[in-house]
Amino acid sequence: MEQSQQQLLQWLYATAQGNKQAFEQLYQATSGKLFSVSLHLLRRHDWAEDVLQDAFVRIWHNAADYHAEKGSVMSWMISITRYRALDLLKSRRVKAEHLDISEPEHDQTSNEVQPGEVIGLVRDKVKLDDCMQGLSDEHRQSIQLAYFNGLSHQEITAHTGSALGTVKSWIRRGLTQLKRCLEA
Amino acid sequence: MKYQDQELLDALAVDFILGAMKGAARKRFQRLMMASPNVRQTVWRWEQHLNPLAEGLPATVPDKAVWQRIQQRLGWLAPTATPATANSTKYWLALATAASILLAVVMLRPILYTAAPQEIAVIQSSDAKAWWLVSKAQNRLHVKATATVTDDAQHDYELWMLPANGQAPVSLGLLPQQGERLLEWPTAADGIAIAALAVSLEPVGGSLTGAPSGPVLFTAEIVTL
Repeated sequence: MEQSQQQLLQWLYATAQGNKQAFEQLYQATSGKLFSVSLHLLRRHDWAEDVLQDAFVRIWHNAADYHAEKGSVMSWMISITRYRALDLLKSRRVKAEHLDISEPEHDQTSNEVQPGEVIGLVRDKVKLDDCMQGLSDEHRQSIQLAYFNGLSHQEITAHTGSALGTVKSWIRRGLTQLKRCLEA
Repeated sequence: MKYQDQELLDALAVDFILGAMKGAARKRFQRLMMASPNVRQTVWRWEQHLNPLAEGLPATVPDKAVWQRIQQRLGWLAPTATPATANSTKYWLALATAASILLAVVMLRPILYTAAPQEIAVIQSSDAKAWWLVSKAQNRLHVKATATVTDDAQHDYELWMLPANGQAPVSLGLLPQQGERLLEWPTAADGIAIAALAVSLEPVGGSLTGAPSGPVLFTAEIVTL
């Protein structure tokens, strides 16, 4: 999987030097995951497409700003996509009650799964999974709702039926525990 | 607030990444990231911790048109050079001209057209320059920006339907500043006779109030072909 990160890195370096072909390869390899990230946050195809477009325009222009300290190439691209989606989410004021959060994990989109191991996050993912497993159900669920669906603490209370203070402390304590585990 | 406290910084970084930090606090934190290496390194570290979560998502292949539009945005493709609409500039210009002529011959419509009606509108400035071409088929609006549209990164142009019965305008969505876009016809606008369309200048993302909040720049009538 290290090689995948290497591959993405090569494409990104070439992209930074204005190589359109490399940029297209980068797009082909990563757009499926990034589109899922965007779709989960926005729940609307057209908005998710707008975000994906914005994200890749930004990736093209900012490719030279990437460096290893920012994480893997994929992690960097996910962040660009997520921040753009969060901006849009905020400006369009999508409310949690309009959203179907309880989407089954294997819906029709699963049929479109691409060979996902291209991504180069797999090793980190294994560790994260281990650490997430170590959390209590409430801690884990709150973090997932916030991360994948962009739900505010307030919206999570509506979803879990818990008090605001409780949700805040779940997320905070969950993440502190997660950090200890990940950085151990 | 003491930003040198690492535990507090961790909490803030996570709020920033998850989107829980909003408004002025978010802007302040962004400035802080630019100013302080420790702050931005903390954010990057947490991004690396959390982003592998996304690895668990199944990939969803986006429509091919997305890649076309990215290339258009980067100026690699002429806005109209997508395969599906190779001749569309000419087509639309012709249609825009035809629309005004057709107004005159609209009386012939029952004889000439018995197929499904198509509704179109040309949104044009007072000096008769077309900005957008709008066509409606079933419950979808196809909107196309012409080269006349002034790019405005600070604002969005929002399209409204003005009901003939004088009710409040219904938002139809945001108009593209380049290229074309499909908008779903909102159910709120179903079955309402349309007096006209209007375009207002709004904050990015559209009006927050549900009604036009900025200046109304254009109005246009719908022509049924």
